[in-house]
Amino acid sequence: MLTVALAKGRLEEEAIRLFARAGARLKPSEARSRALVRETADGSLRFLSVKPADVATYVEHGIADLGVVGLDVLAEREPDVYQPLDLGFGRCRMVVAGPEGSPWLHRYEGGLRVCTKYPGIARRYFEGLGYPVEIIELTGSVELAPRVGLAELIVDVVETGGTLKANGLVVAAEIMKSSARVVVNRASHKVRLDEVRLWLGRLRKAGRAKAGRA
Amino acid sequence: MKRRPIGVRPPSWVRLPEGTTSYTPADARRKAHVESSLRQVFEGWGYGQAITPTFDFAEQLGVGLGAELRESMMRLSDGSGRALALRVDLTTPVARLVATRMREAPLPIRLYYIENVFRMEEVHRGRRREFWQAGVELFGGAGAGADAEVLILAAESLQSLGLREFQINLGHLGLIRAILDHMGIDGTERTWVLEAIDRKDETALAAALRAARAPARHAASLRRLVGLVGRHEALKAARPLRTLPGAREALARLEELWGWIADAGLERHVALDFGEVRGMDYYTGVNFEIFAPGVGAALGAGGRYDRLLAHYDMDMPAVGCAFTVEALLGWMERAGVQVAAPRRVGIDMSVGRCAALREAASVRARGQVATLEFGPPARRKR
Repeated sequence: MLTVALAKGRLEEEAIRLFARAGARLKPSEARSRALVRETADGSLRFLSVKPADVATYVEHGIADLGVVGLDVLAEREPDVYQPLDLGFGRCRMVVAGPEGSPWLHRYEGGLRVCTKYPGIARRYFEGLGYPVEIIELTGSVELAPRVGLAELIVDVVETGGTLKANGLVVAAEIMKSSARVVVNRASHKVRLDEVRLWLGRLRKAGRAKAGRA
Repeated sequence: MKRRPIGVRPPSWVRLPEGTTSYTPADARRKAHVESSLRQVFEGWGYGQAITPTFDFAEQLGVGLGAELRESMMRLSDGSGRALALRVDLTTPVARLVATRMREAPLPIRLYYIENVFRMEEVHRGRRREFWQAGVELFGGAGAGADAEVLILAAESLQSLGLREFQINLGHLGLIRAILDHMGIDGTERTWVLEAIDRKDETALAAALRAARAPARHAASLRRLVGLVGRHEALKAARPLRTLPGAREALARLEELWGWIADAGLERHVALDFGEVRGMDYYTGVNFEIFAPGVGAALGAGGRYDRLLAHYDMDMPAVGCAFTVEALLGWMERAGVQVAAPRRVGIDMSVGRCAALREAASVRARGQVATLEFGPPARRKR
Protein backbone atom coordinates (compact mmCIF):
# COMPACT_ATOMS: atom_id res chain seq x y z
CA MET A 1 0.00 0.00 0.00
CA LEU A 2 1.29 3.44 -0.96
CA THR A 3 0.43 6.50 1.12
CA VAL A 4 -0.61 9.64 -0.76
CA ALA A 5 -0.75 13.08 0.88
CA LEU A 6 -3.39 15.30 -0.72
CA ALA A 7 -3.57 19.08 -0.39
CA LYS A 8 -6.89 19.83 1.26
CA GLY A 9 -9.20 22.15 -0.59
CA ARG A 10 -9.63 22.72 -4.29
CA LEU A 11 -7.03 20.15 -5.36
CA GLU A 12 -8.17 17.30 -3.13
CA GLU A 13 -11.51 16.49 -4.73
CA GLU A 14 -10.05 16.81 -8.20
CA ALA A 15 -7.21 14.48 -7.17
CA ILE A 16 -9.58 11.91 -5.62
CA ARG A 17 -11.58 11.88 -8.87
CA LEU A 18 -8.40 11.40 -10.89
CA PHE A 19 -7.26 8.51 -8.69
CA ALA A 20 -10.73 6.96 -9.07
CA ARG A 21 -10.43 7.15 -12.87
CA ALA A 22 -6.97 5.62 -12.50
CA GLY A 23 -8.55 2.65 -10.72
CA ALA A 24 -8.30 3.55 -7.02
CA ARG A 25 -11.76 4.24 -5.64
CA LEU A 26 -12.34 5.17 -2.02
CA LYS A 27 -14.15 2.68 0.18
CA PRO A 28 -17.85 3.55 -0.20
CA SER A 29 -18.06 4.17 3.53
CA GLU A 30 -15.28 6.75 3.25
CA ALA A 31 -16.15 8.49 -0.01
CA ARG A 32 -17.92 11.33 1.75
CA SER A 33 -16.12 10.97 5.02
CA ARG A 34 -14.21 13.87 6.48
CA ALA A 35 -11.69 11.53 8.04
CA LEU A 36 -8.11 12.67 7.56
CA VAL A 37 -7.00 9.16 6.61
CA ARG A 38 -8.96 7.26 3.97
CA GLU A 39 -8.29 4.05 2.08
CA THR A 40 -9.22 2.85 -1.36
CA ALA A 41 -11.62 -0.09 -1.63
CA ASP A 42 -8.91 -2.37 -3.06
CA GLY A 43 -6.49 -1.41 -0.28
CA SER A 44 -3.84 -0.24 -2.76
CA LEU A 45 -3.68 3.38 -1.61
CA ARG A 46 -4.13 5.35 1.58
CA PHE A 47 -4.90 9.06 1.36
CA LEU A 48 -3.92 11.65 3.96
CA SER A 49 -5.70 15.01 3.93
CA VAL A 50 -3.23 17.70 4.94
CA LYS A 51 -2.80 21.42 4.48
CA PRO A 52 -1.24 22.27 1.10
CA ALA A 53 1.98 23.59 2.61
CA ASP A 54 2.35 20.34 4.59
CA VAL A 55 2.09 17.93 1.64
CA ALA A 56 5.76 18.34 0.83
CA THR A 57 6.66 17.83 4.50
CA TYR A 58 4.88 14.47 4.68
CA VAL A 59 6.45 13.37 1.42
CA GLU A 60 9.93 14.68 2.21
CA HIS A 61 9.95 12.72 5.48
CA GLY A 62 8.72 9.59 3.76
CA ILE A 63 5.51 9.41 5.83
CA ALA A 64 3.71 9.68 2.49
CA ASP A 65 5.23 8.08 -0.61
CA LEU A 66 3.33 10.34 -2.99
CA GLY A 67 1.66 13.72 -2.77
CA VAL A 68 -0.54 15.99 -4.83
CA VAL A 69 0.14 19.69 -4.39
CA GLY A 70 0.33 22.91 -6.40
CA LEU A 71 3.60 23.98 -7.97
CA ASP A 72 3.16 27.36 -6.23
CA VAL A 73 3.46 25.66 -2.84
CA LEU A 74 6.46 23.61 -4.00
CA ALA A 75 8.21 26.69 -5.36
CA GLU A 76 7.82 28.40 -2.00
CA ARG A 77 9.12 25.50 0.09
CA GLU A 78 11.65 24.02 -2.38
CA PRO A 79 11.37 20.55 -0.80
CA ASP A 80 13.77 17.75 -1.66
CA VAL A 81 11.24 15.56 -3.50
CA TYR A 82 10.76 14.35 -7.05
CA GLN A 83 8.12 16.17 -9.13
CA PRO A 84 7.50 13.76 -11.99
CA LEU A 85 4.01 14.63 -13.13
CA ASP A 86 2.03 17.76 -13.99
CA LEU A 87 -1.65 16.89 -13.52
CA GLY A 88 -2.82 19.98 -15.36
CA PHE A 89 -5.65 20.92 -13.03
CA GLY A 90 -5.67 23.56 -10.31
CA ARG A 91 -4.16 26.04 -12.72
CA CYS A 92 -3.28 29.47 -11.39
CA ARG A 93 -0.63 32.15 -11.81
CA MET A 94 1.78 33.62 -9.27
CA VAL A 95 1.81 37.34 -9.93
CA VAL A 96 3.00 40.69 -8.68
CA ALA A 97 0.01 43.02 -8.37
CA GLY A 98 -0.45 46.62 -7.35
CA PRO A 99 -3.12 49.33 -7.29
CA GLU A 100 -4.50 50.24 -10.70
CA GLY A 101 -2.56 53.08 -12.26
CA SER A 102 0.32 52.73 -9.82
CA PRO A 103 3.77 53.17 -11.29
CA TRP A 104 5.75 49.95 -11.68
CA LEU A 105 8.93 49.05 -9.79
CA HIS A 106 11.54 51.39 -11.24
CA ARG A 107 9.40 54.42 -10.46
CA TYR A 108 9.54 53.79 -6.75
CA GLU A 109 12.31 55.60 -4.92
CA GLY A 110 13.35 52.67 -2.74
CA GLY A 111 11.43 51.61 0.33
CA LEU A 112 9.15 49.37 -1.73
CA ARG A 113 7.16 46.98 0.43
CA VAL A 114 5.64 43.72 -0.79
CA CYS A 115 3.02 41.73 1.12
CA THR A 116 2.70 38.01 0.40
CA LYS A 117 1.94 34.54 1.67
CA TYR A 118 4.91 33.40 -0.41
CA PRO A 119 7.96 35.19 1.06
CA GLY A 120 10.43 32.75 -0.51
CA ILE A 121 9.11 33.18 -4.04
CA ALA A 122 8.79 36.95 -3.59
CA ARG A 123 12.31 37.31 -2.20
CA ARG A 124 13.87 35.24 -5.00
CA TYR A 125 11.93 37.13 -7.65
CA PHE A 126 12.91 40.60 -6.48
CA GLU A 127 16.48 39.49 -5.74
CA GLY A 128 16.61 38.28 -9.32
CA LEU A 129 15.56 41.75 -10.50
CA GLY A 130 18.27 43.26 -8.33
CA TYR A 131 15.64 45.40 -6.70
CA PRO A 132 15.62 46.15 -2.97
CA VAL A 133 12.23 45.43 -1.42
CA GLU A 134 10.95 44.75 2.03
CA ILE A 135 8.99 41.48 2.09
CA ILE A 136 6.16 41.40 4.63
CA GLU A 137 4.71 37.96 5.25
CA LEU A 138 0.94 37.66 5.77
CA THR A 139 -1.13 34.51 6.15
CA GLY A 140 -4.22 35.66 4.22
CA SER A 141 -6.26 38.49 2.65
CA VAL A 142 -3.11 39.82 1.05
CA GLU A 143 -5.14 41.97 -1.37
CA LEU A 144 -6.05 44.25 1.51
CA ALA A 145 -2.47 45.38 2.16
CA PRO A 146 -2.03 47.96 -0.66
CA ARG A 147 -5.44 49.50 0.04
CA VAL A 148 -4.63 50.24 3.63
CA GLY A 149 -1.01 51.19 3.09
CA LEU A 150 0.80 48.16 4.53
CA ALA A 151 2.57 47.64 1.20
CA GLU A 152 2.84 49.03 -2.31
CA LEU A 153 2.65 45.64 -4.04
CA ILE A 154 1.58 42.08 -3.36
CA VAL A 155 2.78 38.69 -4.61
CA ASP A 156 -0.05 36.17 -4.72
CA VAL A 157 -1.75 33.48 -6.76
CA VAL A 158 -4.63 34.41 -9.02
CA GLU A 159 -7.06 32.09 -10.74
CA THR A 160 -9.64 34.38 -12.35
CA GLY A 161 -8.41 37.75 -11.15
CA GLY A 162 -11.78 38.50 -9.53
CA THR A 163 -10.39 39.11 -6.07
CA LEU A 164 -7.70 41.42 -7.40
CA LYS A 165 -10.26 43.43 -9.36
CA ALA A 166 -12.62 43.71 -6.43
CA ASN A 167 -9.78 45.27 -4.45
CA GLY A 168 -8.66 47.67 -7.16
CA LEU A 169 -5.49 45.74 -8.01
CA VAL A 170 -4.03 44.84 -11.39
CA VAL A 171 -1.37 42.33 -12.38
CA ALA A 172 2.00 44.01 -12.82
CA ALA A 173 4.06 40.92 -13.69
CA GLU A 174 3.69 37.15 -13.82
CA ILE A 175 6.27 35.23 -11.79
CA MET A 176 5.22 31.68 -12.70
CA LYS A 177 2.36 29.47 -13.81
CA SER A 178 1.20 26.79 -11.42
CA SER A 179 -0.82 23.59 -11.56
CA ALA A 180 -1.20 20.43 -9.48
CA ARG A 181 1.90 18.22 -9.34
CA VAL A 182 2.51 14.70 -8.17
CA VAL A 183 5.50 14.63 -5.84
CA VAL A 184 7.34 11.47 -4.80
CA ASN A 185 9.59 10.75 -1.83
CA ARG A 186 13.13 10.03 -3.04
CA ALA A 187 13.55 6.82 -1.05
CA SER A 188 10.10 5.52 -2.08
CA HIS A 189 11.00 6.13 -5.71
CA LYS A 190 14.04 3.93 -5.14
CA VAL A 191 12.83 1.07 -2.97
CA ARG A 192 9.22 0.90 -4.24
CA LEU A 193 9.89 1.85 -7.82
CA ASP A 194 7.48 -0.64 -9.43
CA GLU A 195 4.48 0.53 -7.41
CA VAL A 196 5.39 4.20 -7.85
CA ARG A 197 5.79 3.80 -11.60
CA LEU A 198 2.55 1.85 -11.87
CA TRP A 199 0.59 4.69 -10.28
CA LEU A 200 2.41 7.45 -12.15
CA GLY A 201 1.56 5.65 -15.38
CA ARG A 202 -2.09 5.18 -14.42
CA LEU A 203 -2.43 8.82 -13.37
CA ARG A 204 -0.81 10.02 -16.56
CA LYS A 205 -3.19 7.90 -18.61
CA ALA A 206 -6.27 8.94 -16.61
CA GLY A 207 -5.28 12.59 -16.93
CA ARG A 208 -4.78 12.31 -20.69
CA ALA A 209 -8.10 10.49 -21.14
CA LYS A 210 -9.88 13.34 -19.45
CA ALA A 211 -8.04 16.02 -21.38
CA GLY A 212 -9.06 14.21 -24.56
CA ARG A 213 -12.74 14.33 -23.63
CA ALA A 214 -12.73 17.97 -22.62
CA MET B 1 13.04 1.89 40.34
CA LYS B 2 13.08 5.54 41.26
CA ARG B 3 10.30 7.72 39.82
CA ARG B 4 10.76 11.30 38.81
CA PRO B 5 8.30 13.56 40.66
CA ILE B 6 5.50 14.65 38.33
CA GLY B 7 4.99 18.31 37.55
CA VAL B 8 8.59 19.38 37.90
CA ARG B 9 9.81 21.34 34.86
CA PRO B 10 13.19 22.83 34.10
CA PRO B 11 13.38 26.59 34.64
CA SER B 12 11.97 28.71 31.82
CA TRP B 13 15.35 30.03 30.62
CA VAL B 14 16.46 26.56 29.52
CA ARG B 15 16.88 26.23 25.73
CA LEU B 16 18.35 23.79 23.24
CA PRO B 17 19.29 25.36 19.87
CA GLU B 18 17.24 24.12 16.94
CA GLY B 19 18.79 21.31 14.99
CA THR B 20 20.92 20.02 17.87
CA THR B 21 20.34 17.20 20.29
CA SER B 22 21.55 15.79 23.59
CA TYR B 23 21.91 12.05 24.02
CA THR B 24 20.82 10.20 27.14
CA PRO B 25 22.81 7.05 27.98
CA ALA B 26 20.20 4.87 26.23
CA ASP B 27 20.42 6.95 23.03
CA ALA B 28 24.17 7.23 23.32
CA ARG B 29 24.54 3.46 23.68
CA ARG B 30 22.68 2.93 20.38
CA LYS B 31 24.84 5.55 18.70
CA ALA B 32 28.01 4.03 20.12
CA HIS B 33 26.88 0.62 18.88
CA VAL B 34 26.44 1.97 15.33
CA GLU B 35 29.79 3.69 15.44
CA SER B 36 31.69 0.72 16.85
CA SER B 37 30.09 -1.65 14.33
CA LEU B 38 31.08 0.59 11.44
CA ARG B 39 34.53 1.21 12.91
CA GLN B 40 35.10 -2.55 13.09
CA VAL B 41 34.16 -2.99 9.43
CA PHE B 42 36.25 0.00 8.32
CA GLU B 43 39.30 -1.17 10.27
CA GLY B 44 38.76 -4.73 9.08
CA TRP B 45 39.22 -3.50 5.52
CA GLY B 46 42.47 -1.80 6.49
CA TYR B 47 41.22 1.76 6.91
CA GLY B 48 42.91 3.96 9.51
CA GLN B 49 41.18 6.71 11.39
CA ALA B 50 41.68 10.32 10.35
CA ILE B 51 40.87 13.10 12.80
CA THR B 52 40.60 16.62 11.43
CA PRO B 53 39.80 19.98 13.08
CA THR B 54 36.22 20.72 14.09
CA PHE B 55 36.66 24.27 12.87
CA ASP B 56 38.87 25.42 10.07
CA PHE B 57 39.44 28.28 7.64
CA ALA B 58 36.19 28.69 5.74
CA GLU B 59 37.95 28.85 2.39
CA GLN B 60 39.83 25.62 3.15
CA LEU B 61 36.62 23.80 4.03
CA GLY B 62 34.97 25.06 0.86
CA VAL B 63 37.50 23.46 -1.52
CA GLY B 64 35.62 21.35 -4.05
CA LEU B 65 32.22 21.82 -2.40
CA GLY B 66 29.06 22.94 -4.19
CA ALA B 67 27.48 26.32 -3.48
CA GLU B 68 24.77 24.87 -1.24
CA LEU B 69 27.23 23.30 1.23
CA ARG B 70 29.49 26.35 1.19
CA GLU B 71 26.54 28.57 2.03
CA SER B 72 25.48 26.28 4.88
CA MET B 73 28.69 26.86 6.88
CA MET B 74 28.41 28.15 10.42
CA ARG B 75 30.97 30.91 10.33
CA LEU B 76 33.18 32.23 13.10
CA SER B 77 35.93 34.79 13.19
CA ASP B 78 39.44 34.20 14.49
CA GLY B 79 39.59 37.76 15.82
CA SER B 80 41.95 39.05 13.12
CA GLY B 81 39.42 39.10 10.32
CA ARG B 82 40.06 35.64 8.93
CA ALA B 83 36.85 33.70 8.39
CA LEU B 84 36.66 30.39 10.20
CA ALA B 85 33.81 27.89 9.97
CA LEU B 86 32.70 24.61 11.48
CA ARG B 87 33.28 21.67 9.14
CA VAL B 88 30.33 20.82 6.88
CA ASP B 89 31.83 17.67 5.42
CA LEU B 90 34.80 15.38 6.03
CA THR B 91 35.98 14.53 2.52
CA THR B 92 37.71 17.87 1.94
CA PRO B 93 39.55 17.96 5.30
CA VAL B 94 40.59 14.33 4.85
CA ALA B 95 41.79 15.08 1.31
CA ARG B 96 43.86 17.95 2.72
CA LEU B 97 45.38 15.57 5.27
CA VAL B 98 46.46 13.35 2.37
CA ALA B 99 47.79 16.37 0.50
CA THR B 100 49.83 17.58 3.47
CA ARG B 101 51.02 15.19 6.18
CA MET B 102 50.48 12.08 4.05
CA ARG B 103 51.71 13.48 0.75
CA GLU B 104 54.58 11.00 0.57
CA ALA B 105 52.69 8.04 2.05
CA PRO B 106 52.65 4.84 -0.02
CA LEU B 107 49.48 4.29 -2.04
CA PRO B 108 46.72 3.37 -1.72
CA ILE B 109 45.83 5.38 1.36
CA ARG B 110 42.77 4.12 3.23
CA LEU B 111 41.23 6.53 5.75
CA TYR B 112 38.02 6.55 7.74
CA TYR B 113 36.33 9.07 10.00
CA ILE B 114 33.45 9.19 12.45
CA GLU B 115 32.86 12.87 13.19
CA ASN B 116 30.17 15.48 13.66
CA VAL B 117 29.48 18.05 10.97
CA PHE B 118 27.60 21.34 11.17
CA ARG B 119 25.25 22.82 8.60
CA MET B 120 22.85 25.75 8.80
CA GLU B 121 19.98 23.66 7.47
CA GLU B 122 16.40 24.84 7.47
CA VAL B 123 15.35 22.97 10.58
CA HIS B 124 11.66 23.08 9.75
CA ARG B 125 12.46 20.33 7.27
CA GLY B 126 13.42 18.11 10.18
CA ARG B 127 17.09 18.32 9.40
CA ARG B 128 19.76 18.47 12.04
CA ARG B 129 22.27 21.28 12.16
CA GLU B 130 24.75 19.06 13.93
CA PHE B 131 24.92 15.44 12.87
CA TRP B 132 27.42 12.61 12.61
CA GLN B 133 29.02 11.16 9.54
CA ALA B 134 30.87 7.86 9.36
CA GLY B 135 32.73 7.26 6.14
CA VAL B 136 35.76 6.00 4.26
CA GLU B 137 37.99 7.48 1.58
CA LEU B 138 40.26 5.39 -0.62
CA PHE B 139 43.03 7.42 -2.29
CA GLY B 140 45.23 6.20 -5.13
CA GLY B 141 43.00 3.51 -6.59
CA ALA B 142 41.63 4.32 -10.03
CA GLY B 143 40.22 0.96 -11.07
CA ALA B 144 36.88 -0.75 -10.74
CA GLY B 145 38.38 -2.72 -7.85
CA ALA B 146 38.61 0.46 -5.75
CA ASP B 147 35.01 1.38 -6.59
CA ALA B 148 33.97 -2.16 -5.69
CA GLU B 149 35.89 -2.13 -2.41
CA VAL B 150 34.04 0.96 -1.19
CA LEU B 151 30.67 -0.35 -2.35
CA ILE B 152 31.11 -3.80 -0.79
CA LEU B 153 32.43 -2.21 2.41
CA ALA B 154 29.31 -0.02 2.53
CA ALA B 155 27.08 -3.08 2.17
CA GLU B 156 29.03 -4.93 4.88
CA SER B 157 28.68 -1.91 7.17
CA LEU B 158 24.90 -2.14 6.92
CA GLN B 159 24.92 -5.90 7.38
CA SER B 160 27.04 -5.47 10.51
CA LEU B 161 24.15 -3.48 11.98
CA GLY B 162 21.66 -6.19 11.13
CA LEU B 163 20.20 -4.31 8.18
CA ARG B 164 19.19 -6.98 5.66
CA GLU B 165 16.89 -5.06 3.33
CA PHE B 166 18.75 -2.20 1.73
CA GLN B 167 19.20 -0.95 -1.79
CA ILE B 168 22.23 0.69 -3.31
CA ASN B 169 21.31 2.83 -6.32
CA LEU B 170 24.42 2.90 -8.46
CA GLY B 171 24.96 5.26 -11.37
CA HIS B 172 27.69 6.90 -13.40
CA LEU B 173 27.49 10.61 -14.13
CA GLY B 174 29.68 10.09 -17.19
CA LEU B 175 26.68 8.92 -19.21
CA ILE B 176 24.48 11.98 -18.79
CA ARG B 177 27.56 14.17 -19.12
CA ALA B 178 28.46 12.45 -22.40
CA ILE B 179 25.02 13.05 -23.93
CA LEU B 180 24.90 16.69 -22.79
CA ASP B 181 28.42 17.32 -24.11
CA HIS B 182 27.56 15.64 -27.40
CA MET B 183 24.48 17.83 -27.77
CA GLY B 184 26.55 20.90 -26.90
CA ILE B 185 24.22 21.89 -24.06
CA ASP B 186 26.01 24.10 -21.56
CA GLY B 187 25.58 27.17 -19.38
CA THR B 188 22.10 28.03 -18.17
CA GLU B 189 20.43 25.49 -20.44
CA ARG B 190 22.55 22.71 -18.94
CA THR B 191 21.49 23.86 -15.46
CA TRP B 192 17.81 23.70 -16.48
CA VAL B 193 18.20 20.22 -17.92
CA LEU B 194 20.02 18.97 -14.81
CA GLU B 195 17.45 20.53 -12.47
CA ALA B 196 14.61 18.87 -14.37
CA ILE B 197 16.40 15.50 -14.19
CA ASP B 198 17.05 16.01 -10.48
CA ARG B 199 13.32 16.51 -9.86
CA LYS B 200 12.35 13.75 -12.30
CA ASP B 201 10.12 16.39 -13.86
CA GLU B 202 9.48 15.06 -17.35
CA THR B 203 7.49 18.11 -18.45
CA ALA B 204 10.28 20.46 -17.43
CA LEU B 205 12.93 18.19 -18.99
CA ALA B 206 11.11 18.18 -22.32
CA ALA B 207 10.76 21.96 -22.15
CA ALA B 208 14.43 22.45 -21.22
CA LEU B 209 15.58 20.21 -24.07
CA ARG B 210 13.36 22.13 -26.50
CA ALA B 211 14.74 25.43 -25.21
CA ALA B 212 18.26 24.11 -25.73
CA ARG B 213 17.36 23.07 -29.30
CA ALA B 214 18.51 19.53 -28.54
CA PRO B 215 18.45 17.23 -31.57
CA ALA B 216 15.39 14.98 -31.22
CA ARG B 217 17.37 11.74 -31.40
CA HIS B 218 19.73 12.65 -28.56
CA ALA B 219 16.97 14.28 -26.51
CA ALA B 220 15.05 11.01 -26.73
CA SER B 221 18.07 8.95 -25.68
CA LEU B 222 18.67 11.26 -22.70
CA ARG B 223 15.03 10.95 -21.62
CA ARG B 224 15.26 7.16 -21.96
CA LEU B 225 18.51 7.03 -20.01
CA VAL B 226 17.29 9.01 -17.01
CA GLY B 227 14.31 6.67 -16.61
CA LEU B 228 16.51 3.60 -16.69
CA VAL B 229 16.62 1.62 -13.43
CA GLY B 230 17.30 -2.06 -13.07
CA ARG B 231 19.86 -4.79 -12.47
CA HIS B 232 22.35 -5.94 -15.11
CA GLU B 233 19.74 -5.57 -17.88
CA ALA B 234 19.73 -1.78 -17.38
CA LEU B 235 23.35 -1.80 -18.49
CA LYS B 236 22.41 -3.63 -21.68
CA ALA B 237 19.65 -1.10 -22.29
CA ALA B 238 22.20 1.71 -22.04
CA ARG B 239 24.60 0.07 -24.53
CA PRO B 240 23.51 2.13 -27.56
CA LEU B 241 25.20 5.11 -25.85
CA ARG B 242 28.64 3.50 -26.15
CA THR B 243 29.34 5.39 -29.37
CA LEU B 244 29.52 8.69 -27.45
CA PRO B 245 32.92 9.82 -26.16
CA GLY B 246 33.04 9.27 -22.40
CA ALA B 247 30.03 7.00 -22.32
CA ARG B 248 32.00 3.97 -23.51
CA GLU B 249 34.36 4.21 -20.52
CA ALA B 250 31.46 4.73 -18.13
CA LEU B 251 29.62 1.65 -19.42
CA ALA B 252 32.78 -0.46 -19.37
CA ARG B 253 33.45 0.60 -15.78
CA LEU B 254 29.92 -0.27 -14.67
CA GLU B 255 30.13 -3.64 -16.47
CA GLU B 256 33.35 -4.45 -14.63
CA LEU B 257 31.94 -3.23 -11.33
CA TRP B 258 28.83 -5.35 -11.82
CA GLY B 259 31.11 -8.41 -12.03
CA TRP B 260 32.48 -7.51 -8.59
CA ILE B 261 28.97 -6.95 -7.24
CA ALA B 262 27.87 -10.36 -8.52
CA ASP B 263 30.95 -12.06 -7.03
CA ALA B 264 30.26 -10.35 -3.69
CA GLY B 265 26.71 -11.73 -3.75
CA LEU B 266 25.24 -8.24 -3.69
CA GLU B 267 23.24 -8.27 -6.96
CA ARG B 268 20.01 -8.36 -4.99
CA HIS B 269 20.96 -5.13 -3.23
CA VAL B 270 22.18 -3.06 -6.16
CA ALA B 271 20.00 -1.20 -8.67
CA LEU B 272 21.66 0.52 -11.59
CA ASP B 273 20.05 3.94 -11.73
CA PHE B 274 20.96 6.40 -14.46
CA GLY B 275 18.50 9.09 -13.41
CA GLU B 276 20.49 10.82 -10.66
CA VAL B 277 22.57 13.96 -11.20
CA ARG B 278 23.33 14.82 -7.58
CA GLY B 279 26.92 15.84 -7.06
CA MET B 280 27.43 16.39 -10.80
CA ASP B 281 30.04 19.06 -10.11
CA TYR B 282 31.87 16.81 -7.65
CA TYR B 283 31.76 13.15 -8.66
CA THR B 284 33.77 12.17 -11.70
CA GLY B 285 32.78 8.53 -12.07
CA VAL B 286 30.48 6.05 -10.38
CA ASN B 287 28.24 7.36 -7.62
CA PHE B 288 25.69 5.72 -5.38
CA GLU B 289 23.07 6.32 -2.70
CA ILE B 290 21.83 3.81 -0.14
CA PHE B 291 18.17 3.44 0.85
CA ALA B 292 16.15 1.17 3.14
CA PRO B 293 12.41 0.50 3.16
CA GLY B 294 10.57 2.75 5.61
CA VAL B 295 13.34 5.34 5.82
CA GLY B 296 12.43 8.49 3.90
CA ALA B 297 15.95 9.69 3.17
CA ALA B 298 19.22 8.15 2.01
CA LEU B 299 21.23 6.35 4.71
CA GLY B 300 24.45 7.20 2.95
CA ALA B 301 26.06 8.04 -0.34
CA GLY B 302 29.35 7.76 -2.12
CA GLY B 303 31.25 7.85 -5.36
CA ARG B 304 34.42 8.61 -7.24
CA TYR B 305 35.94 12.10 -7.13
CA ASP B 306 39.18 12.02 -9.08
CA ARG B 307 39.55 15.79 -9.38
CA LEU B 308 39.40 16.94 -5.74
CA LEU B 309 43.09 16.34 -5.06
CA ALA B 310 43.98 18.47 -8.10
CA HIS B 311 43.13 21.46 -5.88
CA TYR B 312 46.21 20.44 -3.87
CA ASP B 313 48.37 19.96 -6.99
CA MET B 314 48.12 16.19 -6.74
CA ASP B 315 47.02 13.83 -9.46
CA MET B 316 45.24 11.36 -7.23
CA PRO B 317 42.16 9.25 -7.96
CA ALA B 318 39.83 8.83 -5.00
CA VAL B 319 36.60 7.11 -4.10
CA GLY B 320 34.66 7.17 -0.86
CA CYS B 321 31.33 6.92 0.87
CA ALA B 322 29.72 8.20 4.04
CA PHE B 323 26.78 7.24 6.21
CA THR B 324 24.65 9.62 8.24
CA VAL B 325 24.74 8.07 11.70
CA GLU B 326 21.35 9.57 12.65
CA ALA B 327 19.74 7.99 9.57
CA LEU B 328 21.08 4.59 10.63
CA LEU B 329 19.79 5.19 14.17
CA GLY B 330 16.41 6.11 12.70
CA TRP B 331 16.33 2.85 10.80
CA MET B 332 17.29 0.87 13.95
CA GLU B 333 14.55 2.53 15.95
CA ARG B 334 11.93 1.80 13.28
CA ALA B 335 13.11 -1.76 12.84
CA GLY B 336 13.05 -2.27 16.62
CA VAL B 337 16.70 -3.30 16.81
CA GLN B 338 17.69 -3.29 20.47
CA VAL B 339 21.16 -2.77 21.81
CA ALA B 340 21.37 -4.72 25.05
CA ALA B 341 22.71 -2.87 28.04
CA PRO B 342 25.35 -4.82 29.97
CA ARG B 343 24.07 -6.60 33.08
CA ARG B 344 24.26 -4.42 36.18
CA VAL B 345 25.13 -5.87 39.56
CA GLY B 346 24.51 -3.77 42.65
CA ILE B 347 27.23 -4.14 45.29
CA ASP B 348 25.94 -4.02 48.85
CA MET B 349 28.26 -1.77 50.82
CA SER B 350 27.08 -3.11 54.16
CA VAL B 351 29.52 -6.03 53.82
CA GLY B 352 32.33 -3.53 54.43
CA ARG B 353 34.37 -1.40 52.05
CA CYS B 354 37.21 -3.86 51.34
CA ALA B 355 34.91 -6.78 50.60
CA ALA B 356 32.54 -4.64 48.56
CA LEU B 357 35.32 -3.17 46.39
CA ARG B 358 36.83 -6.65 45.87
CA GLU B 359 33.41 -7.99 44.87
CA ALA B 360 32.84 -5.04 42.50
CA ALA B 361 36.22 -5.61 40.84
CA SER B 362 35.50 -9.28 40.27
CA VAL B 363 32.07 -8.47 38.75
CA ARG B 364 33.72 -5.99 36.36
CA ALA B 365 36.41 -8.54 35.53
CA ARG B 366 33.60 -10.77 34.23
CA GLY B 367 32.64 -7.97 31.83
CA GLN B 368 29.61 -6.94 33.82
CA VAL B 369 28.72 -3.64 35.40
CA ALA B 370 29.10 -3.15 39.15
CA THR B 371 27.45 -0.19 40.85
CA LEU B 372 28.08 0.68 44.48
CA GLU B 373 24.81 0.77 46.46
CA PHE B 374 25.12 3.12 49.40
CA GLY B 375 21.78 2.40 50.96
CA PRO B 376 18.11 3.13 50.23
CA PRO B 377 17.59 5.55 47.29
CA ALA B 378 17.53 9.18 48.37
CA ARG B 379 14.16 10.93 47.97
CA ARG B 380 14.25 13.86 45.63
CA LYS B 381 13.07 17.19 46.94
CA ARG B 382 10.21 18.78 45.09
